[in-house]
Amino acid sequence: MDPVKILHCADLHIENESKRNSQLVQNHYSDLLKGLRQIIKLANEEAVDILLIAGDLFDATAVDPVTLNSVKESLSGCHASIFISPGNHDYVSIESPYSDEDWPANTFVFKKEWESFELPRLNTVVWGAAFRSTHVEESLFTGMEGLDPGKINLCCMHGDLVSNTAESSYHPITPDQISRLGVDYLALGHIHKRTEVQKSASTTYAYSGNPVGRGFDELGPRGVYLGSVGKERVDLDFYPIAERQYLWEEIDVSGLFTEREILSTIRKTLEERHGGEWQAHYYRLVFIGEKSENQLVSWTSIKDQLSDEVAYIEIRDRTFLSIDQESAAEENTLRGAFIRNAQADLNNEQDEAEKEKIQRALKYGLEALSGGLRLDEN
Amino acid sequence: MKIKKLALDSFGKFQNFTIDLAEGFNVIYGHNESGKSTLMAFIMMMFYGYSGRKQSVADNPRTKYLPWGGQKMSGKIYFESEGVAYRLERSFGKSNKTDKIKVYQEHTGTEVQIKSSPGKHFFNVNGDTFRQSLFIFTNQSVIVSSDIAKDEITERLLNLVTTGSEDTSYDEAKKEIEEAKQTILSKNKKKGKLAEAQHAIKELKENLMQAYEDEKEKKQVQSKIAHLKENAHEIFTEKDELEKALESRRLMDQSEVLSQAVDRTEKAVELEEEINALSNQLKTEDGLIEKSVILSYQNQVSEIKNLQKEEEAIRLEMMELERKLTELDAEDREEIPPGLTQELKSNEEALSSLEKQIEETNKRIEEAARYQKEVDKADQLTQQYEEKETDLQQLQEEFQQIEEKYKIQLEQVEEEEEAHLVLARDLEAIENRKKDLEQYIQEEEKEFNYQTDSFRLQHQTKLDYINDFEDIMNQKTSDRQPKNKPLLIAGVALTLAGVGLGLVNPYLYLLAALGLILAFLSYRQSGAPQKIEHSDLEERVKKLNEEVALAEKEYRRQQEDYELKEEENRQLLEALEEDIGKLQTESQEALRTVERDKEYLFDLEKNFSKTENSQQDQSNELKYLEEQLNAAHKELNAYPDEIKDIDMKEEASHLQEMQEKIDGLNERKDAVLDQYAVEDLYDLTRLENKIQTTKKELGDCRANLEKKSRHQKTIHKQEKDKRLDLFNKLSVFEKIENLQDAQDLVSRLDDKREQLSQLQVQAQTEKANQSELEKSYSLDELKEQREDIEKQLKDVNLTSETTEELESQLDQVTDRLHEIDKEISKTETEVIERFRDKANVSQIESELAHYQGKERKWQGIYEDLERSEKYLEEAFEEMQTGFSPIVNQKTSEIFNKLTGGKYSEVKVSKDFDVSIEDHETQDLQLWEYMSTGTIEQIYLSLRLAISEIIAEEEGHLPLFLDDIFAQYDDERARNGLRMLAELSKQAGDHQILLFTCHHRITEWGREVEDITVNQQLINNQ
Repeated sequence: MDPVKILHCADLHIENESKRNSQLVQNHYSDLLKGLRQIIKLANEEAVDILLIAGDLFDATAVDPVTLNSVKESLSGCHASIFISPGNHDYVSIESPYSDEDWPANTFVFKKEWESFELPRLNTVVWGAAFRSTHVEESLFTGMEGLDPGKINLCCMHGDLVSNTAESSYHPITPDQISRLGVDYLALGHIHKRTEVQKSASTTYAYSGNPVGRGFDELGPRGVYLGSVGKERVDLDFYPIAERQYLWEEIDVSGLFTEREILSTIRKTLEERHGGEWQAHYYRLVFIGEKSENQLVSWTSIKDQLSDEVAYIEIRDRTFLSIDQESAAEENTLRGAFIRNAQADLNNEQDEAEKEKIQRALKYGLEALSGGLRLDEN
Repeated sequence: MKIKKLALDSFGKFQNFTIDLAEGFNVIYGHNESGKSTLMAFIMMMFYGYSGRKQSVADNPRTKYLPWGGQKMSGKIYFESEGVAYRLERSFGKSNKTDKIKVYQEHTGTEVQIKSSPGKHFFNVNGDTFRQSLFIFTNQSVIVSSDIAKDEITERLLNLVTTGSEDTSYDEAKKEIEEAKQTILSKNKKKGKLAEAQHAIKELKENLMQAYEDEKEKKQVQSKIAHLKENAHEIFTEKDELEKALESRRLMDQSEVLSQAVDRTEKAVELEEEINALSNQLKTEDGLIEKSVILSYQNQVSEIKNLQKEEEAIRLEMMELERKLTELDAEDREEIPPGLTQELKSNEEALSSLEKQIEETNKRIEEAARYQKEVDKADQLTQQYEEKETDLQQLQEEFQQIEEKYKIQLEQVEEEEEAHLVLARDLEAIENRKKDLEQYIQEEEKEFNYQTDSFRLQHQTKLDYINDFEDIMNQKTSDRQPKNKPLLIAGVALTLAGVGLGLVNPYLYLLAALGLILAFLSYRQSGAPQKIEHSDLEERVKKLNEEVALAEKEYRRQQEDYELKEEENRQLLEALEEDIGKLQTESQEALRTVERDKEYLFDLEKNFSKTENSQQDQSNELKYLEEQLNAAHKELNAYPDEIKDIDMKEEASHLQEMQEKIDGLNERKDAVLDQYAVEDLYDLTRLENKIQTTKKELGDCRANLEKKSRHQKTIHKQEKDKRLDLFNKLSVFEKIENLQDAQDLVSRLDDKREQLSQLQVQAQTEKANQSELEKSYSLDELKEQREDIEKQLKDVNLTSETTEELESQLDQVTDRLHEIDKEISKTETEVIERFRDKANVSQIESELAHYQGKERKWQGIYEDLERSEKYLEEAFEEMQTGFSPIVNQKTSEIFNKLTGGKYSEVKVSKDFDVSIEDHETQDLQLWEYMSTGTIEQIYLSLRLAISEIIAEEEGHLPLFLDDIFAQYDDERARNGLRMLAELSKQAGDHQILLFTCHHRITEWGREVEDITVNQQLINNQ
């Protein structure tokens, strides 16, 4: 039997256009739609047979017509058969667009507790179920009966992979359940961080993660799983999608005194790390290293100047003042006394987290004493 | 540590320039531009280098002092530390790291390894501390005497005192932390990043609750819609059934219609037959008898009847008329003469006129009587009025008399009062003079007593001296000799004299002071002990005795003067007292007279007002009477003249005449009425009319009777003719004997004719109402069709409802269905609209997590800031309790010396107010009131104090001062120099280098011992 070629993605969280203005990053809305288009393009290029979208395609339950239209158009341009199983964000409810009649002919949306859809030409059956409310406390796998082991069985499902004894409000899926399923591949959605492809009994499963990052807690390259699923083996590779990534970069500013120096260091470092197109990404720059008292550069100014080239910049100051703390501690001055107090506590403290807090308090105090106390902006 | 020599190989403007420095206090003199700042910068750079990145040339020593020749900056310093001589060589590159630094021990030539900067290595303090405490630049104590500068100094001072470092302010640091905290959480906890996050969280949590509710609601709506759809399905079934029933009804109706058609056709045939039968019965020679003919027969019958009736009526009338005639005859009588009634009428009129006249006359008589009464009343009033007038005049005269008396008395009283006042004034004046004199006497006494005391004192003192000197003269020479006896004695004597004379004239105390100084000096002079000379002592004694005698004489003279004066004054006093006594008695007399006359005046016043009142009363009463009189006269004038002039007798006779006439008329009237047996004129008139009428009626009646008889005859004939005619006409149908039979026959004919018409009409109507079916089909065909339908009906359910009922029900059901469809669609759209833009639970939960993360972050930072604040506060406490008091104390000491003892203490309060205590007056002066100069001195004291403290810990390090006395006034500058010299000496020749460009400083420096003045800079030029 020939294996079938699939593309597994999930958690796009396509938002309504009205949410645009409250975005961290203005481009996010268009990034999401672009991401979907790129997935479709990839599927077409790789001649994928089946596209599985494992939930949270939309961020909201009610979708504005313009966005919805754009999505439907994109999907209609795909040569593969598309299967969508609604998740906790876009669960099937009365205002859900999933009840519309005019989804493209190649798209099937799971709306009930359990359904299967047969593709005889591919000798494949696709199983799926939908979230019909925000919380799903019980497993939805219980309705699955009549599995024909002679066919390739795929399952497209939104849920929360937990240990065998744990509970979850977002459709708990335990390894035991997976091992009893008997499908060849279980495409999971809900967790935004991609997992490796794993196997339990005869079922291979994975989270594809979200293809477009949504903030600085979702860093680095993101994308989809694409490959073939057969009765004997499952071969899936990760394909990155998002052109724009959220990146968290540390820049050492020790020994740099002017705006120009710092700016050029930033540019050089980022280009080294991310290539000629480094400006396309969204950055949180964390400045580390020594800051001497003579360095009076305004982070706001740096940020403004970079904002012309880069779509989004945040700056975090994690530098520390380069005063010789040891000799300063011996001074018979306020500063000396202050440092001594802080160091005394530091020496008595065992807990690492507490130690860090003391270090930070020390840093703030020293900055205040030299007149340069500044906090992060956001 | 001491610096021995500075060698600037190339630094700034210096090329191969060396300058030697001595121990202790050095004043290094050089003009402006001679390079003293350069030298100081050189020292700083050599020991610490410069690691900053300041761009401007002025701020960056590395660029500022680049040698003008273009070489690298370099130099050497020769110094001694802890007894070892060293040589520091340094050449300057672009940064501390690229400077070449070498330190050699002078004696051995070995290189010394140093890890940190040379300064740190040898002074054991870092560059900042060095600069702040050992290096006192002028431009740090900014010398521009404006308020801005003062504040800058004070700021540095405060910082120095409270934090130990000029640039660090505890307040500022604390404020920065506070402000940072505020950006996170404002004081009212409403603003700030943390507050915002918390607020957002709160809002989101509310929204979350709402979102859960919304989800529930959506589910409810969903089930509601499902329910509605079920309903719709049921209704649809109902509709179906109704449609079927409607079909049954249609068939049933059709069958009905056919049956009816059949019946009607059969009935039409029957009708035809009936009509034919009747037509036969109604045939005449002219055919069917017409309705109109029958009608005419009926009319004829009626006419005949009428004629019969008429004849009968006339007969009755005639009988009546005859009766009446008989009656009238009986009533007939004679007529009344025509003019009688007219006479009686005029009679009546005359009567009534007369009666009216009598009434009028009576009225006039009454009015005349009333008039007379009024006249009498008016006369009475006039009399009363005249009496009152006289009374009033009397009173007015009385009043005037009293008024005059009163005026005279008033004048008298006023004069007496005036006299009394004058006396009182004189008395007061004299009393004042007495007081003044008493006071003067007292003062004189005091003065004299004082003089007496002072004289006694002097006298005694001098006697004492005399005794002492006599003792000394008898004394042997002692071991303990004053160093300079004559001087000593002169001093002592002068002192004593000064003290004594000073009592008389305070300025002479100076002599005492001078004496003390001399005495003091005598002890200072070193010389051999001397033998005490007696001869001049004897002289002294003699002199003193003479003085005593003189003084005594003087005193006695003064005493005599005083006693004389005293007696004079006492006599004056007695005279004054006598005068006072006299005036007092006079004054009292005058007062008594005034009071007596015032009482009399008061009585007059009372009388005066009483008379005035009586006068007023009388006047009022008079007015009142006048008014009454006027009123009475007015009324009298209102009566008409004829009343006023009336003649009563005439009137009475007139009355009698009229009465007689009336009686006559009444007699005549009564007579006539009796004659005709009537009550009054009215009845008479009626009687007259009645007689006339009766006669007329009689005539009429006879005429009527005649007429009626003629009429009757005519009618009778008419009737007969008509009757016979009718019988003839009806003989076609039957033979008729009498009218009644005729009537019956006509009636029967009429009925039949009517019936025929009706049937004909009926037949026609039926024909017109024939349905299509009846028109198109024959009876048999119709019957066939009916059977057909009957068969069909056998297969369906029969319904009892009508088509209208069914159709109406069908409409209702269709409407209901429509309604439900609308509701379903409305509910769906509504809910979609409602929740269109609302975030769902998952979205809100995501955002909530985001903000909770933020909350944690800012909470953490806030806690860190608080901890930092805590450390800062503790550090400050430490400084306050540890460092600051020591600094305060040391500063006070130095400041005291610097101000030559004028200020003893510098106090810094908890609020950082600096005050200094004036040693003499013990007043505390606050900051704000001090002059810039004083503040600078404090500043200098503070800096010196701090460097002292450091020096105590690290051993004495050289102190570098850049023209710190430049702006001091002469005295302060001198004091300063002296103080510094002392400081240096006390600390074992602690090296102090004062750079200056002021010549005077240099000169004063020379004057003070222990100051080395260095002119090498000057010489270099």
